[in-house]
Order: sequence, then C-alpha cells, then structure tokens
Amino acid sequence: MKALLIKDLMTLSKTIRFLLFFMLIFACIPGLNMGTFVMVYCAMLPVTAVAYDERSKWDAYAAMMPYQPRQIVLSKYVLGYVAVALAMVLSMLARAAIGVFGGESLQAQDYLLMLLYAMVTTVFMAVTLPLIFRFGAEKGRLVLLVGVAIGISAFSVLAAPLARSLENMTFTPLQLFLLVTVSVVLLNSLSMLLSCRFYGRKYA
Amino acid sequence: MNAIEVKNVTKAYPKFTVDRVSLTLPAGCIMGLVGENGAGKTTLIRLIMGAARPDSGSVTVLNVDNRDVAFHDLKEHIGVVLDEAFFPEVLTPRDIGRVMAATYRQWDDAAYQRWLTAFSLPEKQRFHEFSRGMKMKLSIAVALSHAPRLLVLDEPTGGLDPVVRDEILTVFNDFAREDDHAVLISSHIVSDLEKICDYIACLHRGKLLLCEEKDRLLEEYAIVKLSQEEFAALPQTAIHGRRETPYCVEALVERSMLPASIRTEHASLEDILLFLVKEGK
Repeated sequence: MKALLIKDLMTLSKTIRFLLFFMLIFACIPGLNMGTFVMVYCAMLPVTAVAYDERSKWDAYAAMMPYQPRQIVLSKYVLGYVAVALAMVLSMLARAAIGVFGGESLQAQDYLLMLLYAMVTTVFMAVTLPLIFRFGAEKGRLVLLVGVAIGISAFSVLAAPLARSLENMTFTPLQLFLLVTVSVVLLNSLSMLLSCRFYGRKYA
Repeated sequence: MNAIEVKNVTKAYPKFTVDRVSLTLPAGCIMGLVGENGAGKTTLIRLIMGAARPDSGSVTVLNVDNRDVAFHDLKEHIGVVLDEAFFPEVLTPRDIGRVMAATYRQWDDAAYQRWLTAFSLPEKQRFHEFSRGMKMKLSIAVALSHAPRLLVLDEPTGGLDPVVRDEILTVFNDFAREDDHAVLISSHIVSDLEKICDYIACLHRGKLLLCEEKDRLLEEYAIVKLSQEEFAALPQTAIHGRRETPYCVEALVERSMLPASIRTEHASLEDILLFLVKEGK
C-alpha cells in the first residue's frame, strides 16, 4: 500500500501544494467554516487520484503487479483520511498561532468542533468512492450529483417530521460527539466493503 | 521446468470467448503470441497474470497455480509491459523509480538507472511528454529492474520504428539467454516474432490455432503453386490452407506428407499464419 500512496502523493503533488496554500489563507480568515472548505477538498483528493489512474489506465497495469485489489481500494481511503487529518491539524495550528500573535484565539470546544467537521467530511468520501469504483470517475460523479439531488429532495420532505420526532430528545455534547463518531465509522466501513466489492469485479 | 502452463482455459464474455486454450512455455524460451485484433491475446495475458478469472481450466506460472495465494508474491518475479496501460502521466522516471522501489522487494535501483541510461531516457521529464517509443522503453526498464524470471509483454513493439524495435528485441533476446528466464510476447508484427521466438502460438477468434516450435513450423510447412488438377491429386491431410488465383492454386502444405516430386517454396512465418487464419482448408 505504501507504494500506491507514494504514487498518489506524487501524482497529486501540484494539487496538494495548491491546497496547502489555500489552507493557510483560509486559516487567517476568522470563522471556522473556511477551514472546512479545505477539508472537503482534501476529501475529494481520492476521486482525483482515481481519475488520474483511469486516464493512464494504471489499473490494468496494477493488476499485473504485486498489489492486492483490496490494497488498491484502501489506499484511496487512507489518502483521503490522511489528507483530511492533515488539513485539520494544520488549520488548528495556524489558528492557534494566530491566537498567540493577538488574533482571534480558539476555545477548547472549537477544536472539538473542527474534529467533528473533519469526521463529517469523510462521509463525503464514503458516499463518493463506491460510486467512483462502480461507475468510473466521470460517470460516478454524475451518479453522485443525481443522488445528491434525490437526497436533498427527500430531506426537504422528511426534515419537518424528523425535527418534530426529535423535539423531545436532548443530547449532551459528548453524546452527540459519540453518536457522530460511531455513525461516521460505520458509514466508512460499509463504504470500504462496497468499494472493494465493486473494484473486485474488474478481476472477474 | 515450464515457465507457463495454460491448460484448457475458457473465459466467456458476452461477445467473445477464449475457448479451451492450452499452451506451454518452457523455461529458457521465448514464445510469440500472434493473432488479429480481438483474437484474445490480451485476454489470455490477463488470464495468465490472474487479472481475470477463467470459467474453467488452470494456469500455472513458474510452477505456481495462479489461483494460489503464493501467486501474489510470485508477481515479484514477473516483469510486465502492456500495450496501452502506462504510468500516471505526471510522473517522471525518477518518481516511477521511487514507486517501484516501494512496490518490489527486489527492486534494483542501480539496474534501473543503467536501463534509463541505455535507453537514453531523461530522468526528470514527465511521462506524458514521452514519445510512444520512450514510454515503451520506460515500461521495459521497469520490467527488467526487479530481477524478473519471466517477462510478459503485450505488444511491446507496436507503433515503434524499426530501429527502436530492433533495439528492444535484442534486449528480450539477451534476457532469455538465462536458462531460468522466459518471455511471452504478443505482437502483430510477425517478422519481430520470427527474429526472436522459439515457440509460436496463434490465436484466432479466441481459439488456439497452433502452438509449435518456430523452427519446426518453418521446416515442416511450405508453399506449393499448382494447377487445379495437380492440387486435386495432393493428399488432403497435407493441406493446411489454400488460395486460388486465376493461374494456379497456392496452398500451405506439410512438406513431409507430400510426394518427393512436388516442388515446394519456403513459407515464412507470416505466410503460414496468414494461410491458417485467412484461407482455411
């Protein structure tokens, strides 16, 4: 897997440099939401890596090398997780540094919130990657767009009844954090299983 | 020892089937895989390398069944060059060397550098800026730099000029001089195969038409040009393909089955394969 990660990092080196630059710019802008933009872009890196692989038909070549199909799939997830984690840590460090030099400093709950944002960002990856492995980078993105449109429509219909049913429920911040963490881990695990299954079809 | 043993392999796709193919490539030899576009050469290579699962039959590579877990490790000893699958285009040969060093436990960076120099490949130029010949040379440099015992090459000389082709064929020939090395090479360019191969396997519409020693093919097969009457008198089992012209019947025949009085002409490998594939009996 190390070789596959090195290959993806080298392939994406330009994009990564671009993201690092914007991460620092965004970190200087007050408000946490700007930092999450970079995390979302980082979560999209695996999709870009798959698109590069498809363009050079790397998969056909990789199938002949000592890589397991599972390693090829999981390397994309690892790439995404590392990128999101790095974006989160660098954003935190940049904001902390700004605080030291007299800017708006971060509170403890802000760090927790950033961690939460980072986890939610991986949900984007968990939804996208199985589609990309099933349909390819181009078609997969179209299917994703259609899926998002259907999801938003469904949410707009279900939001009010859902809000009513949750009205009487209260969560402590810790409970909420645990709930999000468990959901994110489950969703990512399911996503990896699906991706491995879809990718394995190439070897059928 | 055999480098590759393919036994009765069948793989059916909706519009195409590789049908009960069997062939054996002994160690120390080069086998040429020839056939028209869509004959099944690339599919067969995928089946040999475990990149596709056969519906039936078995494949053994360097004495390991390619369905075994051990085959994954064996890939360390197999160098592969593919016709249309390459490295990510923004990478340079130096980057590719780093990736391959992390891929193959036996990666020999000194050997890789030697091949880059021998092929005059710039270390810092991006892959997408390479000509087709340079791309192929880089793939070959990678395939040769992890101490392979077997080379599996899918159209490695396609689209290259004769000088580069000759240079590359010499490399394969040198590689196969070691007793425990072997090469499986698919190509449309029959003259290339005639130059370097010990064995020739011909695929046609997913079926194996022949798998023979090249020298035996060239000794055994011949062309005859006869009148209709003379042709009719030939033993039918000797005829492997025929082509009628306004003046005579040209046929591919087995020399040993003909009466000594019949005059024959030398059949090149290309003649033999064209007769077998196009003209039928």
